[in-house]
Amino acid sequence: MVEALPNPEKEVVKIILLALAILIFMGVAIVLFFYFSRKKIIKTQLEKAHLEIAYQKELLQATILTQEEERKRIAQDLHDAISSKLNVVSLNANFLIEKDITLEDTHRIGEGIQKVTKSVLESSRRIAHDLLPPTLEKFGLKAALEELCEEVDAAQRFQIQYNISYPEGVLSSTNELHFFRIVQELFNNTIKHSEAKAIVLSLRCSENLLSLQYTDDGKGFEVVKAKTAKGLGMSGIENRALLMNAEFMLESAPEAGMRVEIKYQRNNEH
Amino acid sequence: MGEIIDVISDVTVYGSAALAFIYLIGFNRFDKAYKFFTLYLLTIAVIQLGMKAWKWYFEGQSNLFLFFYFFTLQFLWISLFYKELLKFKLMGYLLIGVFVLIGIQYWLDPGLYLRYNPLGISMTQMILVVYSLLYLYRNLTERGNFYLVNIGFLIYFSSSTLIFTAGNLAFDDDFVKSISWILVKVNVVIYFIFQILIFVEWWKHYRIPKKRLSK
Repeated sequence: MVEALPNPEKEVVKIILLALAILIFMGVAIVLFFYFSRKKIIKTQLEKAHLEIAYQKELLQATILTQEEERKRIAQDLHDAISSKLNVVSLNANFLIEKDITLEDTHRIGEGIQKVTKSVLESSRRIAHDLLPPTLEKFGLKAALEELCEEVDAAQRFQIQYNISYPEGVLSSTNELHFFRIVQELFNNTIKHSEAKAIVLSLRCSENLLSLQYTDDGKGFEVVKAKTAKGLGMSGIENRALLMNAEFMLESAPEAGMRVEIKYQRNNEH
Repeated sequence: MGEIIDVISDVTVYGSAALAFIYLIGFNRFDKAYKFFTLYLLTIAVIQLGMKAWKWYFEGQSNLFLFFYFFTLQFLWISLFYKELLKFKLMGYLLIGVFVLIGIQYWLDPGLYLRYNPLGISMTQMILVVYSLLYLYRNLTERGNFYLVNIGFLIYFSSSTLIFTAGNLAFDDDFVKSISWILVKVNVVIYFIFQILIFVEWWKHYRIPKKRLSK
């Protein structure tokens, strides 16, 4: 049919058909382009989600590990400080019920029992206190932190300077506990690893920001290593900060001490 | 080859009626976009069948006035359809603006009603091509409805715009009829593919399972 046409018209048909072919080709190309871009985007989104899940798993693992370690420590404490001493009490009580015992011995053993019991009481009080300081619940975060500082100060290993200003009710009780544990862990770190001589702790509260600064002049460490090391409590501290939606900053270098800052936006309390 | 095209041509006419029917089944059940799309299918079906009937009863008389309804109603329904999907306020103003322009065009030249209007069809279809591209872009990150129909619109509108624009040649008496027939045939094939996409969309997402009907 087309062959029979005069030439110019044949050319027009050719051009139109070619243009049509190009248009359809472009259309298909665009659709394919969007289709594959979409696939790629979804793939990256999926990867991101997987990464997040992996991170959550790691967090969970760390939490469980910490819990197990804590249990081990409590068991050890109970065994060392209470069970063994109660054994002594039980042994001494056995002496008391023997028939041929002098009044003098009775007094001596009685005194011994009283002494050991007193120390058991003291130990159990201490263990309970370590688990959850009653001050925090009864008198709030400020008092609990001050008490903690006083305890560290009383050990007389460090010079400690602290300045705590915290109006009640800024944080929820859960977040107060997080905050307290963070400070506790920071002290633990300094005591266990740093060989520091001075600690400065300050907690300041402005209209919309609660900021905690903690500095020691110990031997320091490499930040990257500390974050991955399970033994150091840094990952735990960071996790707690993350849980309360606070910003966590850690600066340290070998032989240069350590500085930690935690910033909490007050308006994100929920 | 010519016979196959004739068969496909008939299939698209009755197919458009069938598609309008199957989409009508769920008319009350689905969202506004679905409703506008169904109205579009219904319009096409009525015009297609009308053209067929016209051919029988008024053999040889021009049916071009139907074309006016075809491209204006097509633009109306599909603009509203994409407005539901894209939610751009500007689309409403554009719809009104285009109708004002078309109105002016026909006011200046009332005889155009009985002639072919390449400016009208190309203007409206190009706008619809842009909408379908925008919707394709939106679908990059989220799964929207009517993905297949959108692809169909993109390819069908971009190619048929050229065909319809070139279609004016067909009414040039100096031009041999066979050329315009080639264009018509290509258009029929593309439209047939588009209808298959519409059907697959319905089959995949809007076919009402028996369980839900019995509820």
